[in-house]
Amino acid sequence: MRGTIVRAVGVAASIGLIAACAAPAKDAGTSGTAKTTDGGTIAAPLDPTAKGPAPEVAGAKKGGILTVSYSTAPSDMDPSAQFYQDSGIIMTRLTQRSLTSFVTRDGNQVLVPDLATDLGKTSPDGLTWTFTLKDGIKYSDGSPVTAGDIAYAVKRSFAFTDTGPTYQVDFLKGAKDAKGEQAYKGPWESGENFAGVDAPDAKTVVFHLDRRWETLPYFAAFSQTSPIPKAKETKNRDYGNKAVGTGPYKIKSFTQGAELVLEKNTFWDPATDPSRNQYLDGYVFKFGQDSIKVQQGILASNGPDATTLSWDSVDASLIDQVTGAKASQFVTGPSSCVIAVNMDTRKIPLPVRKAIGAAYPFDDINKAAGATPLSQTPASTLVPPQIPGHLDFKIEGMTGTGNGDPVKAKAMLAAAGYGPGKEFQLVWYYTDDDPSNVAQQVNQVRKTKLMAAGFKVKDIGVAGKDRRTLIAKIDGPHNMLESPAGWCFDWPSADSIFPPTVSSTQIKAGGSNWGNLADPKVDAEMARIQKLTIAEQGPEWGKFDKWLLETYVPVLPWYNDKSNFLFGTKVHNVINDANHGMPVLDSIWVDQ
Amino acid sequence: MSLGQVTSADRAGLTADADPTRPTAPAKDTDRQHGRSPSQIAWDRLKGDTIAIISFGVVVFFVLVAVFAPLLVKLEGETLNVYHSDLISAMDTYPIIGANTAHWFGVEPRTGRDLFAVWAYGARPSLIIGFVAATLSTIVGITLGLLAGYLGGKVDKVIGWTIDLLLSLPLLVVVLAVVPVIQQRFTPAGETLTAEQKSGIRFYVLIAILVFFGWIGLARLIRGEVFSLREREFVQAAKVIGVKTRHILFKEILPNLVGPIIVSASIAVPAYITYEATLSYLGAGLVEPTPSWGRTVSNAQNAYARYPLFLWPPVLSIASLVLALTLLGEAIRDAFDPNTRR
Repeated sequence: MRGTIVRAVGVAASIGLIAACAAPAKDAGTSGTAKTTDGGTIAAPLDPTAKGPAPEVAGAKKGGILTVSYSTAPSDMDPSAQFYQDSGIIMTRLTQRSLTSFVTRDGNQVLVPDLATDLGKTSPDGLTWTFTLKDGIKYSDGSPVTAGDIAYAVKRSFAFTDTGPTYQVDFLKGAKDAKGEQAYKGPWESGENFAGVDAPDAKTVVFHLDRRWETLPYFAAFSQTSPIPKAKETKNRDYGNKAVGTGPYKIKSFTQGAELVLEKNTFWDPATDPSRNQYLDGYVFKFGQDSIKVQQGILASNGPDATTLSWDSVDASLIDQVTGAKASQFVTGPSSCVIAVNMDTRKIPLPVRKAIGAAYPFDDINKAAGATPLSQTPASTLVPPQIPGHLDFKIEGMTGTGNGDPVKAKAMLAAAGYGPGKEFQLVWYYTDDDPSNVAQQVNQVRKTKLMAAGFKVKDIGVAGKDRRTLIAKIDGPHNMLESPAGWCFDWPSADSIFPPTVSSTQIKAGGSNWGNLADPKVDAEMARIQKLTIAEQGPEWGKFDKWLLETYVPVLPWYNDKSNFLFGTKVHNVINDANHGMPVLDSIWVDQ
Repeated sequence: MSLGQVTSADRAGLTADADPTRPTAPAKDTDRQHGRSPSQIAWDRLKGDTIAIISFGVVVFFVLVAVFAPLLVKLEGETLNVYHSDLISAMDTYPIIGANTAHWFGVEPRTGRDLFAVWAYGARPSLIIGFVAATLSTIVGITLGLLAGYLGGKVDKVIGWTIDLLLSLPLLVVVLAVVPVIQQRFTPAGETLTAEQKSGIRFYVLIAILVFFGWIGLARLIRGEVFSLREREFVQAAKVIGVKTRHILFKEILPNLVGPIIVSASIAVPAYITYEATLSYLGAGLVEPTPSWGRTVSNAQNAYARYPLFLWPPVLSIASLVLALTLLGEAIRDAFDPNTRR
């Protein structure tokens, strides 16, 4: 729910990508061809009866180590705190099991029971969800998992809502006070007495809700529902360094900012796990790597580089190779994020916002940012195509393509009462210390083109590390390019997109409302849709998307992020998980 | 890291320990040299030095490029900071053209700016910073060196102590740390700077920092020279007949130091040009959209495999300009060297 950085990948990072993450459903590139998969709308099917073991990958060999090298680094590996794409996928695929999980079937992601025997049973009023645990689940140290450990982990996640997800605060009973503020702050601060979740016996976990939460089974796939034994935890994020897990691999060592080494967990029983494979002997994640050097090494595939994978965006200088001779070492596909250009609805009048849309030089900015068809696809909607109910519409000036029409924008500004001598001033922050100069050049292109369309521009250069905080301030001097710069859905339903980004209750937090929009009509419409069932919600969210963009123009949709995986010649079966924008790590196998 | 000219200047000029193996400039017509000032002799020698003439030509070329950059770019039919995005491939964001008659050095990957314009305008900050900083640091160095050497005592101690302090500071680290701080000092409270304002401030901050650290070598050199000169008969005589101190310093002593000063200044210019490029490369120098060779090099290095034309012009320019200025400095040094006078 809260804006969280994804992978700080090449281009996206330099222009300041912010978004949240995690979720389920559809489409993937297949290993062996550099295939781009842009999708129609396929719901993430639910399969409550799936049984372990997970289906075998044809031709897969056992053994070997996969190295994953990328440019950023997770700050910690605490399952209660994680909300990032990288640490999220490492935990949910490799080290931690949750109540539910995903399995890839024919390129689609299917939600299946994991530690639980099914996808949860809901009471007739929809306010109670009950999960029953499977028998014989053990931690990586051999001790048994109990339902109380899962209830404790959910409670513990309330202590990390500054960086972790906050859905549990919104929906679980007793989590909020009368003013809507978070009242329960986790077991250390508020005690273990919490009405939202309990474990009546060693096999049963029960969630008690304030209001209906149709998509709770998706949230149950988050590592926040992975069991944590109270006796072995530390009361801070350091627990993640040695977290006992339930997944096919366990943490051998974690050095923050440098390296994470995983080895096989001998207590993992494939017969209980319908979701995961265990082909490799281990994984090594190397953080903070120079992505261009890593990618050049992978393409050459000498020595250990032949068993290395990189999920950073492919550098533009290597595109010739990955679309040509080395196409078999590259997979791309949709990711879960939509990136948009924010315009403060409180500070910029509607006609001016429309004029910005008419003038916005998407193509030039994309080129200046080094963005290519491999790194993104233009977006004209806020609901990405892979979400059920996605409505494919194009509003003029909001298609994420084209180079703007300065003449038309000037005419629109004139009609709104602005012109020479009385220009409308746009104020934004940009990163001025990007060592590659990309952010600075993108800013210059944007500034030049908008000035040509008759706007006055004040661009405020700040250090990249300060920018993220500054653009999230709702009372700053800026009226454009505010946070969130983008949003990654958490599960394949638009209820993980809209309430977090346009509801008026979110505006006070700062940095998560598109255009700092706060409108009772928008709130009422969302409340109406959320009362429907999952299947009914989809098309309604699609219509909501169009209505919101047409009526309020709080953002200009810009592009849908794409995942890029580059891997050595000995790495096989790299599949894009379109709902997480990450590879399905556990089904990868390597030649020895 | 020292500025480079410190040691060279120490070696150079009128010091007694000149290297006898150093090749001397050809001295034709030695008879004519008698009765002429050291500057006249040096000038004659320089005129006969082919390397000096060629180097001078190279420097003049770059000065002309910098001065006439707008004209040259107009001649090409271009304008600085116009983004030709239509010449950029949307597939990989590299230019779809190479060098041609419309874009002599091609266009920049991603943005499509004309690289000839970027190069020609990029000569300006390098040369202006190089020459202005060298001039200012020479003036400061001369003044403080003269004062320390002639007055001696407490003044000498204070200046000497300052020199030692500045020499002990790691220059590059100080600059990287200080540039953003000074920039912040010049930002009015509650205000924010645009890219152009920031680049303007950075420009003066760079000159100030180079001057602040650059005067040391020359001051030390001058101080030493003045120590010996002030005991000479003509200075003593001037003192006895009551000539003012300022007059003695500037009319009696300074003319004898012209050689080392010119040498020091001519070696300082390439060192400062290198510094500007280095700092811009490291991101502590000039910022977008002001062109700078150092930053072009920084932008171009990752694109080199695909688009070498991006990297070569600034690299070759920095290399040849610095080489020419250094060779010119060496030639001047040789011309002024008393050990090669006969």
